Amino acid sequence: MNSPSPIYVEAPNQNLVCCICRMPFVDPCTNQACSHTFCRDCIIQSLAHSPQCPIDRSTLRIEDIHPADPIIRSLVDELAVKCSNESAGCLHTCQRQLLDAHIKTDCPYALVPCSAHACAEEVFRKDKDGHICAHTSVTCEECEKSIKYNELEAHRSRCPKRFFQCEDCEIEQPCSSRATHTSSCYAVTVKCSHEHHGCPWEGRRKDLPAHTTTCSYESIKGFFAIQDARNATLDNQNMLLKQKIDTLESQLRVAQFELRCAQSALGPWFRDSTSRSTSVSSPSSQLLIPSQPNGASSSRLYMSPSDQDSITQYFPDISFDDRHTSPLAEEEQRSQRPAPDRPAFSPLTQYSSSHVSFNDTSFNGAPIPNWSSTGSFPTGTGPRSPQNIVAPLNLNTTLEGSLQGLRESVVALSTSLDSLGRRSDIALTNEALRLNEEVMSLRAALHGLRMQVHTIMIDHNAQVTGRGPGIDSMFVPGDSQWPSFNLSRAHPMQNASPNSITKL
Amino acid sequence: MTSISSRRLAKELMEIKNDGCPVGINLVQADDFSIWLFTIEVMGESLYQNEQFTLQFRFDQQYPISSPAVQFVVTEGRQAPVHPHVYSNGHICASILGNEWSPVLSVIAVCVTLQSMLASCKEKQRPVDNDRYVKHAPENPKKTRFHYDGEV
Repeated sequence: MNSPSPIYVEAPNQNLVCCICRMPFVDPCTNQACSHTFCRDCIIQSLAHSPQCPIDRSTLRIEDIHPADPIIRSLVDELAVKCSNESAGCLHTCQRQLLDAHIKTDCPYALVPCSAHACAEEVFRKDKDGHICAHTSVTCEECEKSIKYNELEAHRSRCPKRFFQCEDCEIEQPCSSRATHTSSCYAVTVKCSHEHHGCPWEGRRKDLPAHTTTCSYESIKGFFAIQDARNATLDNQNMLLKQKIDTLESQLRVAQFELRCAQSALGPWFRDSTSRSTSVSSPSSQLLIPSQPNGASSSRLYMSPSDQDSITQYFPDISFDDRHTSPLAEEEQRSQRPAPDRPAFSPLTQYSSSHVSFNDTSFNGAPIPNWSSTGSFPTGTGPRSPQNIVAPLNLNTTLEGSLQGLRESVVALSTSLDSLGRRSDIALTNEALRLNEEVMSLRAALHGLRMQVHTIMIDHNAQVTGRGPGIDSMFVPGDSQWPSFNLSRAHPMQNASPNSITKL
Repeated sequence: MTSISSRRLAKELMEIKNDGCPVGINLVQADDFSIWLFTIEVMGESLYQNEQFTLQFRFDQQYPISSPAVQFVVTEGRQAPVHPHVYSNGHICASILGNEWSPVLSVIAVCVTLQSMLASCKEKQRPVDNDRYVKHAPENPKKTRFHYDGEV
């Protein structure tokens, strides 16, 4: 189909309309199975999407599609349509099947290529003969030469038969020599050849030689040449230097960026090299081992005020000199300082304080000679222990020093933990032994008591019943029986025989 | 070059303008051949009496060979009807919008089908998997592979 959508003169019969595109059939096709008719393009597209008849959804293959009845074909082919060049002005109407032929051969508003050999333009068919295109030949009025239409303007300005009058020397010249005349006309206004050095002279060309002999710039022509050459080299050098500066600047920016990265990675350990050189010392001496609660090591805690300030900034939970500050004041201090590391360190101090209270409550009253004799374990009576157990991190050394110090303190911590474990083992064994002995003695006392009660019961029974001691055979094997058996008489007996118990 | 879809839609639009919409359906917006909006309400006795919904049609270049993307509009204070086949984001689980679409169907035919779907509703409730579906639903309902079980 040449034209995509022909415009029908009248509304077509609904029986001739394809139900997919809602237009009269184009190249109608009928499927053999259910006899529905569609445009060929429509049904092929629809089957590609889903292989069923669009109307009754029965299965349909492309092989089932056949051209529709010739009657239907002629009915749609003979529908009256308007020419598709109606918008351009063609009012022709014809049968649809003739439309292609009309456009191809007759329609005056159809676009056809220009008849000229090299012209790519398209023109209306009716304009074809009168069309003047770039390739039409025209004749120059002066020289009577045949010139292409699009070259006529250019030819006119240099046609040898045409003349022009020079504005400066007022002599008529042929157009063909226009370009050469302007550069040689003696009356044309020119400037001094040293204009770019600053000579203000301006005059007719014929006066130029006279000026040149008097021109002050002409006399130092050699100097100008040297200066020009030197300026050129300087310019080149300048350009090179600029490029160098650019590269250096970009390198500097990269270096600055890297430095900032390193700075943020180092954190509090980043320090100027000058300030660090004054306070270099061995990392181990700066560190506090937790198992040394004596006065000498604790005094090392107190540093110069500035150092302390910088450290408390990072460890706000460890207060150095006023350890008796109220919790409220401590809260104030925390809120005033930015404390990035606080959450990591607060559990540590909490541990130390709870550690002390553990000593206080459960083991302080117990008579354990081993613990008090070692003296290294804090017994919890003094409030200094929470600060002494955790050593502050030294920020004055290098990062490696601090790491080494931390490692040492971990080693010390593990040794002290080890010794603590061993000590508690010993204490546990001692306590277990003591308790064992006590249980043994209690058991012996209980046994004696039972024996006494037994004797008393036998005596008593003998007195009441008057029978012999044969009855005791029912009490001896069943221990569980006798508390319920003589519950009422148990109390007076216990009260009555305190002496026998104390004897044990 | 006018595509088959825009020619067909121009035809449908002309029919709507000439013959009008069925009762309860009104064309709101059809400025181009990519998005059309309709209001739809159920006439007569039904669970959706006095409720008005907005239907959005989105067409691609393949229309009418492929189905339009149809959903209820749920923005600017508009709600999707509470129906066992309509998700709260407006997506509709209806077979004629999916695998049972046929090029013979038209925009008005879809509107009428959805209207009768609402009219025959017996109980106002969301689909059982509404929350799960709405959470992961694609923007275009045509990208969802619905499983059609009811008769719609």
